[in-house]
Amino acid sequence: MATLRIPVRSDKAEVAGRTDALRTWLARPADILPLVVLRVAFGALMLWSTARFVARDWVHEFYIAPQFHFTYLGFGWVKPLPPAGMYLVFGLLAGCAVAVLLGWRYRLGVTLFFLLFTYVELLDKSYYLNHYYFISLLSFLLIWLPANGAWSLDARRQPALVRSTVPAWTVRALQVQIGLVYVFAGLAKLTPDWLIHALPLRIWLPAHSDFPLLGPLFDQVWTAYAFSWAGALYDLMIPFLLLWRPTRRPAFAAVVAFHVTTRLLFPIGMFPWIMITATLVFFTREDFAQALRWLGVHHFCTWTVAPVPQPDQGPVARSKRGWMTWAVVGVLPLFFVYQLVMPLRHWAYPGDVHWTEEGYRFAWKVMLVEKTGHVRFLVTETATGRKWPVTARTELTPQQEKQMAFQPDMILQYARHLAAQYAAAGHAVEVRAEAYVSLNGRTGRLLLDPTVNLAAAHNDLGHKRWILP
Amino acid sequence: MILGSLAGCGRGAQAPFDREAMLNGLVQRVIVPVHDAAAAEAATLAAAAHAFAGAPTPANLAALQEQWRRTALAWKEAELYAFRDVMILHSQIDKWPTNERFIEGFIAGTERLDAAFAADVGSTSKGLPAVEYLIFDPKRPPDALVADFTAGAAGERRRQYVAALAQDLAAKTAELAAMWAGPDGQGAAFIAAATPGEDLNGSISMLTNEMIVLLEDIAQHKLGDPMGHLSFGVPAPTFVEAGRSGASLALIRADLQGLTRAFHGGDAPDDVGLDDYLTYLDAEYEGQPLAAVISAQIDAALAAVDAVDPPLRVAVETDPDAVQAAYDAIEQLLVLVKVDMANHLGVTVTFSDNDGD
Repeated sequence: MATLRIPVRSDKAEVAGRTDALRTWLARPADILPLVVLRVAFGALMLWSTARFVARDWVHEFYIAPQFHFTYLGFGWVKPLPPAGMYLVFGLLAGCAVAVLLGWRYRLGVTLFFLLFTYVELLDKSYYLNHYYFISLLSFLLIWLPANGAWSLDARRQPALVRSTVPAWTVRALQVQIGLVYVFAGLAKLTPDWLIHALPLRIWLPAHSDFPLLGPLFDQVWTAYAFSWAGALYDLMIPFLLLWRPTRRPAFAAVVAFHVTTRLLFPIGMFPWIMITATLVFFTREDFAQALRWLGVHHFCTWTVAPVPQPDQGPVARSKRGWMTWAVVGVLPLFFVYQLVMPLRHWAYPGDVHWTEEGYRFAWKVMLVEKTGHVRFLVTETATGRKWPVTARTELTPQQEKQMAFQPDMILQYARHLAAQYAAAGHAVEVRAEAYVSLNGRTGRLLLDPTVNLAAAHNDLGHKRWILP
Repeated sequence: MILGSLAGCGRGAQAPFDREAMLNGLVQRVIVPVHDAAAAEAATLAAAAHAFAGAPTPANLAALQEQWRRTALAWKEAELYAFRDVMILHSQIDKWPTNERFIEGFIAGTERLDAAFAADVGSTSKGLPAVEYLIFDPKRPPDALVADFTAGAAGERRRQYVAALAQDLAAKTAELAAMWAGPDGQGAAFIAAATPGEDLNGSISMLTNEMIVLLEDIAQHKLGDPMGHLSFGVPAPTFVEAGRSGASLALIRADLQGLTRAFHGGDAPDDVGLDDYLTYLDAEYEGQPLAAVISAQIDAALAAVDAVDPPLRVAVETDPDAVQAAYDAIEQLLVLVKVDMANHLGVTVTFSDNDGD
């Protein structure tokens, strides 16, 4: 027994030693600069993004005008506020973005931003976008990071907050966050459609054959292959190339080139700017200084915080560590485990996730499908046996109807809603859905079993057996 | 496998498809002519209404009715092109259903019922459906209908209103035709915005969307509502479009005819249209060229509509199977356009622009 115990003990000691080493590595002081650069840039982008959203009248179009909303499972209680309330939410979002930008009551500002932004996103899954999800995650992460330690009104108001260094894990956590997005987006591209058939780029690129200079190339099939393979390699490698000093600058050039190209070719809004900005967190002070010298700014160090690392931050800073200790031992490990599980959960469902969409959201599946659908609900009155079709376009907005047409969970939600509406009018009905979907240029076919009464089907996380293979 | 796939696709060797030329052809060969034809018929309608207002005889009424039919049929070939910039004109020309109560209110009122009045009045009180309401009534003999227009002061106001409406209709259709034909007009903008997916104004995207909207409108409203889709499965003949004239089915036919010409880019076999673009993109449907499948389905839908005995308001009750067959054929066509064609073209089938990723 004793002979067994000894190696166990030495393992424990080794583990403890490694844990200590990890702890030391995570806690060692690192320059605060990447953190504050990200904070300022994120605040500015969110301000722009919120203003753009309001200016395009999307508050009204997405959250006020629609009569029905596709809420997320378990979040059915999240409802839009009356119009004035919705505009107030967007006003507050802009205000929070300014607070983050200026570092004014930063922690309150970024917490409120996270809560309000996530509230808006939870209202309707028709508008789900990976980059909105990324913003929710990033703002949540920023709650736990001391990004107001420099270049902030908070630091001016409370000199005790001023710090030139932060524990290394704070910067690493942001790098891991961005790395996860890219790597999972890259893994998601390792499919036969993307790599072997160059789909959907093969469908999308020819539409741009009158693009300046590059246009004629987009009519060539090999261009779609080149873009597909380059895109997958880019996503898989870029976090590592950004991390490694010798490749950092060319990697950032690739980031800019990649995202600007996608912005020029596809209507993807703010996503490119957000990703370009986020990768700045891989830069060191020397990278920033070099970049600024290159842009003709030579006095960078004089208008930034003192670059000398100060391991001891004084009594006030130490008291703040309580908050961050909680973050590093309690919240963030769970946060990242969750993020490792979410993109992989689709493997728990049978069938092709691009077709079934089970586990498709929150998984960095970006630009993988050209999908079009048409759904018609067939209502049968139980008492009389009379049947009639219902199209959703009367009640839904075109955007909602388009998204619903190829997403089984949304079709189910709407079918149940229809049944409830008829029931409220005194007609017990069964509702079936005839949904035709085309995925990446394949002939449109039935998505769901048209004989299943969806009014009686369950809406949960389990596999929906009525999705046809 | 990759090489095989590359070699299997012949597009690389082909000359690039000239979308702008396709759209230019569509404008010159189809869009401008159908709008001109509608405007010409509407001008004749205005003359017929004027003649009837001057001499309200059964013969003049019959002539007016006949000209209304011709105008409506010509107009329906243009109904497809209800792009955002011309949407208001479209509803001023043809907003259905018309508001009978408002119309009777104007006639019973005291305002001067001239062209200026008709120009100002809301879309539900004018255009083709309002004229139809005034000059057709399947429940009464023509003499009784003519009597409405001759009976005293009210009759005179009714004559004034029908003439004013016809005149406004002629003006609006002429305005729309001019917009399409002009060098800086809708037609030029349509051709310039040739890139689909680029933004919502991409013409191919817009055209596809309008084809979808038209087919949905036919299936859901022009056929579905009278079939009982709004009334718990019980047929509702009053919901037919153009029920008074009995032209419902003919108008649906004209809608489909307009759609055919838009799809083929003209009437001649070598006119270049969306069908040729689909073929260029190697779009297939179960191994067949998608363009041919859509073309065949348009023919099937036309045949199914023709197989219904007019008028539709009667057929929904006496021959529901035939109406159902027409509905099914149009739904099938809708699926081909909205699901398969839209997928191959990679067009965004929405009106609202949004960030995507």
